Amino acid sequence: MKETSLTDRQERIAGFKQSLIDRAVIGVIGAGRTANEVIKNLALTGFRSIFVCDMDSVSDTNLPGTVLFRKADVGEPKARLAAEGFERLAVAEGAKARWLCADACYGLGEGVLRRCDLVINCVDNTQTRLYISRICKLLEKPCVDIGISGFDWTHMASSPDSDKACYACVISPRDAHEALKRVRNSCDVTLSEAAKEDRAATIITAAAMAGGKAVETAIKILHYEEREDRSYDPFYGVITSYSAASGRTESFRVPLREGCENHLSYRELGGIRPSGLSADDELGKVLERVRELYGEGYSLSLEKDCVPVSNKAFIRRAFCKCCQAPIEVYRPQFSLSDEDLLCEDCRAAGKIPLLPSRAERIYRFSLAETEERILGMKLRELGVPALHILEFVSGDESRLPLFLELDGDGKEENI
Amino acid sequence: MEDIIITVCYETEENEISTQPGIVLGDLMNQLGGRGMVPRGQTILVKKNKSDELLDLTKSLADNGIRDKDVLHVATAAKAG
Repeated sequence: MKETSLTDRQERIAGFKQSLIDRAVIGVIGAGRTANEVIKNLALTGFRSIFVCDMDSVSDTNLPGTVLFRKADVGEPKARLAAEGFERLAVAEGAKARWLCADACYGLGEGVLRRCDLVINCVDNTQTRLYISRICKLLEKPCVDIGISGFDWTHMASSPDSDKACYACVISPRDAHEALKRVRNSCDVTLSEAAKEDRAATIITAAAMAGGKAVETAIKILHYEEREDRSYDPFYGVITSYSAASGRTESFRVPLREGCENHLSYRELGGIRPSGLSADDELGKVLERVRELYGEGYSLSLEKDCVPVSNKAFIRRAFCKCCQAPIEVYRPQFSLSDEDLLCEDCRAAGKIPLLPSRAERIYRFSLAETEERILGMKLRELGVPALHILEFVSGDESRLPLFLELDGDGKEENI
Repeated sequence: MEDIIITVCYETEENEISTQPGIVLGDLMNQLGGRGMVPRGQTILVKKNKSDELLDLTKSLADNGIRDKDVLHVATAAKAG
């Protein structure tokens, strides 16, 4: 009897090439309701390699909407459980899911996404949607964005080409600004605890439809990018919105928004260079290496001009949010909560952080101007994730910024 | 500039409103949000008549080519994950 492939039925679809699925690497950002559906579909259509990033742990209210989580998983990291769920369900032999428990905006190195063929953005906030969309444009990766609200869902695929519309083209500059404020109080330093508590109304039926649509689009992109087969058109730059109240799905063709800052690619900015460096290297060593290779005068810039939706700073000193006494911090801004900015006395007295913070932020580091203590810190301690792409800027404006990848991190266990 | 009358469709609702072509589309949507005709605090998607092109919320109705008797179709971009 002839042996049949497990994916035989889908391989009967005209033009379908299982080999494209077999060799693709898919990045999934988020491991909540929509991502669970996406990952389940990726596993059952024969994908062999995925990467999952999520910062949260499973709570009991997650369980009714998530096919990959069980009651015993409460308190465990969603990213790990989603990765394990993929491997458990996968029809491809030897399927492997890598994972990272981190906030994608701050803890995910761009080089991780560089190693993916496409990215499916399943996060729950506009800031991260904008950030991932921006990084995908820089890396010239296709990106599929899905979101849900109640019974409704939204889907958009963005082309890897920098001259085509992206997710940010949908959002007005004012909404983008609001999105940043929602996660981080712009006049303050610390992550707002209230923002973390923002929970939207969602239901598994919406996640299932959006997750199905996202994986359909991922499959179409793999076929379309290989041979521009019109029957596999992923409809780049079209945002689709399903409303359960009207029972209608509306499609909107998104034009490239005038003034959208999110379209230049790293290739157009001079390209990404290898470095042999790692996030575990000390800042001083990294700056010396850059001087050795590219000459004097380069500074490491934590905040990149080409990523306007990020908000990265290193806090050296701050003032207590209760009594205003000066405190040493020496930590990345994104890692700080309100309690971290209380002096020892106020913390011991159990006081509540009420005042807005004042802090000394550092965005750039150089051999000439950065203090020894910071030069001796590892990049990771400054908030730089493994496999990140760093920007080095020169005081000489005629020299373009350098983009160096921390490719020394390539052997990290998970990513 | 003379007022124009347009129809705004959101989900099952259709509302006819009188407005000015010089008003910024995003501002009009905020006003309509205040009157419960479209949602507030969400990313709004707008297209007109039979076209599927997303209109620019930062531009005026006139600059978006919206004229008297046009029909706007409004949807939202869901953002939960």
